[in-house]
Amino acid sequence: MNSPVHRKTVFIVDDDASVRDALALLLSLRGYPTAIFANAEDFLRALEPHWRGVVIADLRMPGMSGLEMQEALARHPARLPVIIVTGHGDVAAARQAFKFHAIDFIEKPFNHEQLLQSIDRALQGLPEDPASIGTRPVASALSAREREVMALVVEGLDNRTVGERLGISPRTVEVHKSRVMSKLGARNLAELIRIAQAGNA
Amino acid sequence: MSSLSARLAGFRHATGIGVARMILYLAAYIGLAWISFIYPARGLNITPWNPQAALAVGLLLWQPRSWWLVWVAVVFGEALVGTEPIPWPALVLAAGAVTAGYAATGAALRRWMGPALPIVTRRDVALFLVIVVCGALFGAVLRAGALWAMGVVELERVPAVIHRSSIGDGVGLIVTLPVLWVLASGERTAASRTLLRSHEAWLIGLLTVLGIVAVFAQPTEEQFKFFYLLFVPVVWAAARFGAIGAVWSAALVQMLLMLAVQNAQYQPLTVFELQVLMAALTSTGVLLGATVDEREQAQQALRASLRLAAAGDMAAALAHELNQPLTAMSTYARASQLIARRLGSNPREPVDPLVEVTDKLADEATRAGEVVNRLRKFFRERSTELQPTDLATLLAQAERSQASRAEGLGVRLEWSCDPQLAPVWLDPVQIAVVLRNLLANAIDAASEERTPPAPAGRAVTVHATQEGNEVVVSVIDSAPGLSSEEVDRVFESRRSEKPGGMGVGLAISRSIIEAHGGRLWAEAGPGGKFHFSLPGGAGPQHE
Repeated sequence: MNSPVHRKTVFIVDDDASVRDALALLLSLRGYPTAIFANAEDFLRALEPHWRGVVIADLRMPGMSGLEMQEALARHPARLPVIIVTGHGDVAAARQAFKFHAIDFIEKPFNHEQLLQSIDRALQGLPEDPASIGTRPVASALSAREREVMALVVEGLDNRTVGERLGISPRTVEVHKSRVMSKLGARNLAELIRIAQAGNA
Repeated sequence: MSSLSARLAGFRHATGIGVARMILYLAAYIGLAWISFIYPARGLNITPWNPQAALAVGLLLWQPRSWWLVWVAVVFGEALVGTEPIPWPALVLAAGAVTAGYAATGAALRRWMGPALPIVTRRDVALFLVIVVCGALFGAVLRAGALWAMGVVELERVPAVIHRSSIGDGVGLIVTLPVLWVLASGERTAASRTLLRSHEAWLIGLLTVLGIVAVFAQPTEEQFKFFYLLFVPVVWAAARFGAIGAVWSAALVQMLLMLAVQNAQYQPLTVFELQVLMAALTSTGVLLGATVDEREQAQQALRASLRLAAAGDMAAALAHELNQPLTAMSTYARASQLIARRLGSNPREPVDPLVEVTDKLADEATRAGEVVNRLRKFFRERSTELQPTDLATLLAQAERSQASRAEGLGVRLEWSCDPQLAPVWLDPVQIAVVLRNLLANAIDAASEERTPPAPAGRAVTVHATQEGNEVVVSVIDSAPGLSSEEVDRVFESRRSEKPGGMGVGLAISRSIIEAHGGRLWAEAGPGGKFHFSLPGGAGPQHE
């Protein structure tokens, strides 16, 4: 009945009880069936191949991390799409998440609109789609220097290091970076990483 | 009138020095030359102690364009103070040679050390000594050359003139220039005033006077044998107060030495030799002082960086903790908007859900507030505030804070405390952070279902015991625990493989315990074991 067999469900895996509770409340008020789990192990143990929906997983949890769980899910027959949320977003984690085809990588505290959009996209079975974020294809829109800056920024380098590599000032790097973001319609670093990875693929 | 002041301003511009300062300089130079005019070498106005040389080099160091003033001062100094008759042209030329030596020394100091003359490191001191000795020698050679060229001294006396002149100027520079440098720097003058307030400094001064009396009470030929006594106060001052202490105590020795020398009859040569010893004494003292200063600075830098690292770790962990309640709050807020909208469209809907959600919202705000308070407390009490604290109370508090969570995860939580334990001096806020952290980690470990529960079930126990003159608190859980390799790695916060922030929390806990003078360590399994020690608490209560 409330087993998530028939309808597409939002599975919330977060070690923080309040975050879990709040998210489940909000999503159920929005009409989504939800199921909550305190850690990745519990969820993976319970998961059955015919379950459908989307997983919202915290990056940092005691025991198995969100990224490790994502990796395990990629091999699981249910093949549930994953949205990673984190209070501690770093570029390396975001790259890793998108490598395993995360729908989105969202920093806590959430932008709820972004979260709901990503949930809908996942539930409608759309593949992660850089074009839906970016307004233009990557290659043509950017100058050569902007492409260089972008390549280094999504490697996880800070402005100073990027500047040293390219022989420009950190201030200039920042200018290039914000121009790249606005040209590609990326609202944050996670989106930029996703676009860059889609461009490379 | 105005044309005069304009001309004066122009003059000041051209020379880089004001008229008042010029007069002051001339007076000070001639005054010092007069005080220190003792035991001139035969037929020449070359004395064994020239503090005025330091004044001249100091002026040229900061005002290189006033070389002519230095020249004038040297000429007047010799003419007014000198007792040996030297023809005017020779005097002026020799004074020019001396000035050239000072100017070269000043230029070299400016070139290699900068006008601020930062004698703090051993390298600075060594450089200073080399420049000053070379400068004094160079000036002496020029002076001897000038005197010989003017026919005042014969060729065979030239080496003796160089010898004495370089000692007089060299010692004057080595002993007095650092004093000028201390006086010119506001910061160092303040440090000198602090020195005067210290009883130890006065004791060292007294010892110096006694040393001088002891040395000069001996017959003249014995005095050299006992000069080493004067190293005691200078080395003491250097070891205790660093370079500044050495500079002042050497200056004191020099002054007393000159007083003693003036009250007795000596061969001029003897006094020159005493001055060489004086230069060695000062060099030793200042080098030692610089070493002491360097070590002190390195220690301070280390302490500051440790404090910063602890604060950084703390901030990272608390920022993470803060994000959770904030996330919950914003989500609850969105949810209550939705509920409120429904209530608006259908007044018969129950109000309870909205009340419940806003209640949770308020709880989360409180939780966030607690995190912020902890952060503020940490930064406000940059140093730990120790007070005698009953460990049992602290353990009970920590247990209460984790009890509901442990229960939820099916972990039994127990604590015990040695009843003989006296209150321990600690910072209750910080130690509570450590206890909470260790307990939370232990509960996580014990609740992991991948591990088969121990026969006694999942449990975490905390106990505090007296061991020697320290108190050891142990947190032990029923999980398999760490391997001996993991024991070494578990404190490396940045490399923490467990994405629960465990490593960061442990690193902070360790900084806190170390700030209390204790240790925090992990022990290899079976059973997860973390211990920390705190000094004190021994025996019957003494507080």
